[in-house]
Amino acid sequence: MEYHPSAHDPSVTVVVPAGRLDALAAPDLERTLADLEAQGSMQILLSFHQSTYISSSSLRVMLIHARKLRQSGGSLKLCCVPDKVGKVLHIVGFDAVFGVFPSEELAVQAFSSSPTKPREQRP
Amino acid sequence: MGFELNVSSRMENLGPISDFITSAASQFGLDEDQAFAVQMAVDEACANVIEHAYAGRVDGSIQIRAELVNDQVVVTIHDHGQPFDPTCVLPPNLCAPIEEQEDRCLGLFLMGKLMDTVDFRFDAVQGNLLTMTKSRHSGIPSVGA
Repeated sequence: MEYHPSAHDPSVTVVVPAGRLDALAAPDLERTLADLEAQGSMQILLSFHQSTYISSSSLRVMLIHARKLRQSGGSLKLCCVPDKVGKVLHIVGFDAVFGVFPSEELAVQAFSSSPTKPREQRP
Repeated sequence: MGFELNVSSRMENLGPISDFITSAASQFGLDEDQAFAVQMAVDEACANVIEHAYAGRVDGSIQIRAELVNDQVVVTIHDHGQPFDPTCVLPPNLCAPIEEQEDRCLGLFLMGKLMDTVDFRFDAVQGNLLTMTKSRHSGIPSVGA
């Protein structure tokens, strides 16, 4: 799955899922997000401008990784959501749970306004 | 009017299943939102069959029928995999923060939201039969919870 540093802020990694994000494609999204987290990416933006569909398998992957990132002080945000993907996010309430932005630039600004906090070290 | 598709239990068949349902929905005169709702409900149901009923087996059979009966789209999905009890899964808590969101029941939740009725029947001999209906007059839900 394609990903790259954002042109607006290279500390934000933009992941670009393409086509149908169904149960067949969900493992690829899972691997991509897991790899990025293993590499230390803390601010991940899913840009859906090339996506035509999303099913519960990929929603589940998003939820699990948003939770992991938040626990380690990072964040997962969404942008450029096509109508059909947006409807699904709305039905399951993810548009309220995740930050959803109309453009990559606005999403990156939102990362900047809520900067990543390193996880607190417990003694 | 009715259409039928028989496929094996491979995730690669979700795309052709989606195309089949979208085409049937068009023949039935559904609008874009209604067609999307039926396509998504069937996609979720078939993904469940492949992942859970057949649990990785790729030679299982899935029979999908779509019919228009008295202004209602009736979709049946028939398989011979393991049965499961749909009453044992709880709906997701859509108001909870990310940390407390349930991530296991989204597919069933979506099927219930998108279709007018969802009915599971399990039979040791006949196999599993899922019947979902949607009126040509009902739309896609607009509110999350």
